Amino acid sequence: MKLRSSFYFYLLAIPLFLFLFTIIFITVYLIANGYPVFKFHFLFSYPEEQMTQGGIFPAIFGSIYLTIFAFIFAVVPSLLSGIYFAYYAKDNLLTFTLRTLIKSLSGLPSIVFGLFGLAFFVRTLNIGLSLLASSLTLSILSIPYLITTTEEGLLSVPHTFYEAAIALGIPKWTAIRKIILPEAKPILLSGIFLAFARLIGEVAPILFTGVAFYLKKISLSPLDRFMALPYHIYILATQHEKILKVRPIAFASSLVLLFFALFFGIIAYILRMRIKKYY
Amino acid sequence: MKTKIRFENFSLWFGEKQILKNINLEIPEKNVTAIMGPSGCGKTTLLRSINRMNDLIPNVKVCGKVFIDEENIYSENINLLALRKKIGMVFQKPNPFPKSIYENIAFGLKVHKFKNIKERVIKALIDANLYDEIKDNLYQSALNLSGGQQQRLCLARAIAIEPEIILLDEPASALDPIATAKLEELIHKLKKDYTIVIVTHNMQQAARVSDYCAFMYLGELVEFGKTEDIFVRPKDKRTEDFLLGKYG
Repeated sequence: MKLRSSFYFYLLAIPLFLFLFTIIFITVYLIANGYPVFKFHFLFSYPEEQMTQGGIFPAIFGSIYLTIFAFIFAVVPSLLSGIYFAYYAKDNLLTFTLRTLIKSLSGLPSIVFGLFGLAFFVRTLNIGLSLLASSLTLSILSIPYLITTTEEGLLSVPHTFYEAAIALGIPKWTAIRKIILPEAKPILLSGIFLAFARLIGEVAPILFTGVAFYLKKISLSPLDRFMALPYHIYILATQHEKILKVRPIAFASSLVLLFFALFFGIIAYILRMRIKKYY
Repeated sequence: MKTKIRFENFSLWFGEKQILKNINLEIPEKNVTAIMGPSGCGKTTLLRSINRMNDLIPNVKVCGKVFIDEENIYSENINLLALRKKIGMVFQKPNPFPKSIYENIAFGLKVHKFKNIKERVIKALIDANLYDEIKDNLYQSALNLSGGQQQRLCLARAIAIEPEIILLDEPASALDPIATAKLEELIHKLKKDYTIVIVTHNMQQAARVSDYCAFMYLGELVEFGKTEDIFVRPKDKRTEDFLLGKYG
């Protein structure tokens, strides 16, 4: 009996340790290779000498700016749609179709969103290659996921609270806004941060919609092009003519990107710990 | 005795399944009316028809009328919010909002635009026999109260907005005997001001708290009358069997 249970312990534990080892290995490898150029100055200065020297400030700035805009465009529609699905949608063919479409959208490769962004935002709406077009594309990529997490978050709040409010003659929207949403807040926020932990590393959706290879000066206007960390890494790793010279910078940039993803992930995790258990 | 709630040929379906079968019932004002019957007989559904909480369930279909003060609450132009304000409800499991004790009661008052919120909160807590136990913890989470206290808080929350009717859906089923006794004492006190309808599958409780009693079986209203008549001289064989403990 003891032998059998320890067999299952190892069966389950070994893949976990292999996975952990891989993650630690990647992080250590990045730190070891990126460390020589990773200085305070690296984070806050422009690339110099055809990117072989200097820092990655425009890429960091662009990624953060992009994420903020994507956040603005994604959160409100997702929240409203999630509330609609959780509390207003009738159980009929239309709802079923919408749900199926949203589920399929969240499984679509991100390059497809990139092409859509190029066709629709850049060309049809004539926004041009810009941060605006890119952030709109990114927001569309994250909306299906955010709708699903919003709906699940709202439905995890016990229905008895909602019933109690309705029985008091409280209007439905007030009950949702004052009772359900505050309770679901940690889950919703955690979902949002997880979505952005993924979003900040996406290349495909911004590739055709506005990301730039190199900019002399950053612009605050969302109608201008921008640099972004993941694309910068891609260029340094594969497209640069002096590929060996820029390699430490590529590693250090990856480290910064990893840090951002980790940062969002940790916030999501902390919020998740604050989710209440009712029963 | 004035009739407060009147069911007239009322039937209700969940999808294809008929839950209530042609109910005719007159519930008198300012009395306690108990609805009893074995599990699954439709007594909770009957209770929830009075404040139209069954509307929350998809695929519900009704036929017939329910009058409150001679107004059909299933007519097209009824104001559901006003109807539910007029009818307080306490559920089977205590369900205070995950807020402070004060805020639990103040919330409904604020939404319904009452004035002097603080005084009304305290009055509701006093009326619900709860104030003395929690007066020092008014701003603490309601979820830290005991089950019995939570249930009385739910009652306080319901009566704060000045309803005329109180619906109690097996309010003591999750409570211990002492908490149950306190709740029953409270029901007794409240009946001079409110029309109370209580659902219970516990016939001793029905006997203790109610003035009138309805017995339901498989979606039908089998018998209705004064509690002492029902318990001493049941007219229907099924009522008698239930009182003798032949169904669970």
